[in-house]
Amino acid sequence: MDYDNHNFIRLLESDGTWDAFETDWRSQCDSLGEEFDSYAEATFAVVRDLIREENRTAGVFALQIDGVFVAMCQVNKAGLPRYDSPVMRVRFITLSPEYDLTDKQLGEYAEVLVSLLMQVLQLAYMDEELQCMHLKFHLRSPADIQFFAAFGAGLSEKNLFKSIKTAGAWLHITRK
Amino acid sequence: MGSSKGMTTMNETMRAALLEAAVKAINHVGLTDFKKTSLFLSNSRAAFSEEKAAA
Repeated sequence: MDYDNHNFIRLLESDGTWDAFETDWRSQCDSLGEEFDSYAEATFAVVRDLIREENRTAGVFALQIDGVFVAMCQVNKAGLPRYDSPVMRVRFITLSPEYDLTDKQLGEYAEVLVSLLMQVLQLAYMDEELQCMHLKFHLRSPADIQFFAAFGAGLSEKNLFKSIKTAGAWLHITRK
Repeated sequence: MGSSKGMTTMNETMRAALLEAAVKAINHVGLTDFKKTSLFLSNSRAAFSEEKAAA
């Protein structure tokens, strides 16, 4: 896979990137016969409030591949109790209508999820404002917990991180 | 993640590990149950209230 065509874009109201993202996903819904407003509004209502804040230690990001927005997430960095340094919290990981409303191969879902996670990890490792030793991924449903527990268990075997664990509604990762 | 070449190697290693773990996890829960996660907006309507509380 050619990763040069992958862009991780911070979505802002002020520069039109949020509008471009919403327009893209609205268009994907239209082409798949889904009514965008009822489909997306539950999550978009919360996320739209977050992008208006334009905080350096918080942002909504979208992964764009070959000019198409394929996934998004929200990240923020904050000090939390029981942590020795700031924590990056990752919420609202969402794949595009195209991935939701069509039947893709298992590998395609894995690839796009991993591409998004790699971008998030790049922020945690290298971004001047968002760099963190600790990451927490919010798991919004029992199905999320089941999947990400299995994912975390598999990743633990690779010895790439200091620790990986699921606790409650969160997947916790600490960098080496 | 280190020097440019080191960074590339680290990225390739990490991506391969993440991909293997993701494929294994999707196989473990099954594609049908994977598509019931909140990664997909068509499942997120019920979780709306919970997320507002977590924000």
